[in-house]
Amino acid sequence: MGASNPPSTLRQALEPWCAVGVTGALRVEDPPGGAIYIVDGRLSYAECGLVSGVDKLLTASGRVPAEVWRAAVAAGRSTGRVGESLIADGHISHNELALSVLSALMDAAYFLFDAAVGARFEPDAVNPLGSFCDVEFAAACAEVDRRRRLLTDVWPDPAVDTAAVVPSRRLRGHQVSLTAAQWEIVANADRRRSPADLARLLGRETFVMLLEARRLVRAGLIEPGRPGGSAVAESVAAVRARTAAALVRASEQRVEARAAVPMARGSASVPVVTAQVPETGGRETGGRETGGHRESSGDRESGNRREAGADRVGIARQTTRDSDRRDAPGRDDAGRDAAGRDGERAREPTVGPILPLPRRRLAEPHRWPVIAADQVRAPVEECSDSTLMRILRALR
Amino acid sequence: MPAFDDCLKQVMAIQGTLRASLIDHSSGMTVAAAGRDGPAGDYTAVVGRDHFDPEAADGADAGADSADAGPMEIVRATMGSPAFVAPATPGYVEDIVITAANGYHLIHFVVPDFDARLVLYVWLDRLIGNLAMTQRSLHSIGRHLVAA
Repeated sequence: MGASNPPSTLRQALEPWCAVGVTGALRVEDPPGGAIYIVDGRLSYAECGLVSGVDKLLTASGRVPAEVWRAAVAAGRSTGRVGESLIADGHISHNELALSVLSALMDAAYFLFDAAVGARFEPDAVNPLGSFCDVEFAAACAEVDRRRRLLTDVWPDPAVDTAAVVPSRRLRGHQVSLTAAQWEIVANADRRRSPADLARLLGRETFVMLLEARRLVRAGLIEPGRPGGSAVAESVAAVRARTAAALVRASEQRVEARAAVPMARGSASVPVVTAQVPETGGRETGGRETGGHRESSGDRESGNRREAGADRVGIARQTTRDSDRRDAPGRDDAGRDAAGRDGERAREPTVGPILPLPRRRLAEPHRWPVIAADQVRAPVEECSDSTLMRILRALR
Repeated sequence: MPAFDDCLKQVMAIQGTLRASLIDHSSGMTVAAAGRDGPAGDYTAVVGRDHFDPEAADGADAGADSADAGPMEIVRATMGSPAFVAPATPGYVEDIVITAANGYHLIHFVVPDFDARLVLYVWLDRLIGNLAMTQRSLHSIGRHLVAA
């Protein structure tokens, strides 16, 4: 099914290249810009316009003087030995550089992997820095998902990431304790910079700054101010919005395509079944394995019916098994051939009316495990009402 | 991550080591790991692992998604606690030792120059392992890790 559609996110575009085991770079052509470098099918580096790359991590943090970095780049860019020349001159140790490269890679991957952007593969392109890391594609995906989950667990409102950081003027209580990264956020907040800007300013990973900022918001120490004060903040928000829109569009097309195929094959039998026996609707749903999930997610649109919907699917599945058992001997009985006909029709190729998935579900990455806590969390993801947050936290 | 494999090999050579991992505690990412997976589950999201098993990753539930999630919570709680710093003075935590029924858990902070965000976590067997010796070797391995 997915093979016929063009890949919608960069993760899907990247997967085949990694699976084949090529060497080259996947260049992102749409606004955030960036590239993912692959060596023998393993990720070696990723860069993205939204996050601080290795250069920013090393120079803006003061680890390597900016002129030393520029000299190393000038010397080693053409040969792809920028990193090695830094190490050889004793400015940084190999392990430290490798760690910075890994941080930058995962940081860029966090923003790029689920972005709906066009990309072009350039074979045999290598990173001028040199190859200091090799990360398996699946491991990188798992790490990106873990990061996304971590951020949502701390504070579910993504608007915090791109809004200006405004530290609270007055605090209740006697004292407060901050980690070093949190101190840096508070100390460098000028009521215009967002967490994404602060990361570039300080030469820290963007993900870490987003995480700490969300923790501070949760503790009530900073509050999100005006959104989108800077170019970076605006483009982070824009990329997210476009990705969500593109994912919804792509899945709607997929659902329509799926709905069109079986309808053409056996559309005549559908109304008959539903008209004759009202409860066959439930029976049919239980009959196919994926149908149960689709039905239950359709019910999610009204929040308080959710539990009831899940129960109903479970019951429906049981009744299917019961009816199947009843039907097998029932076909011999003359008086029960009507029920037998129904049972056979329910076992025919899947021809139910297919509901389009609700939007909320589609905007999430597919790899998320469906757990009860996520279902509670998802509906408020875009809400910034702090009271609701507090209720949600109390419930957890 | 081949860069850190030597370091982990040295840690695994310590008598009684069941698991060793190198964690970036600012983001919670496991940079490299070796040895047995945690008692919580048999799946670890290790970026630096050679053979990553996506099936195991899909089967894991969100709560206990990593053998290093437990140590990370401890690190997080320690870093956030005012009890372990002198007031108004920036400072480092050096070691955390947890004595548990299933062994000793040592968390050593690899401190200088690394932006102070790497943590060496070692799970040590209680019967075979020697706590004091392991602590000493972790210090020297950590220092070597920074220099290499």
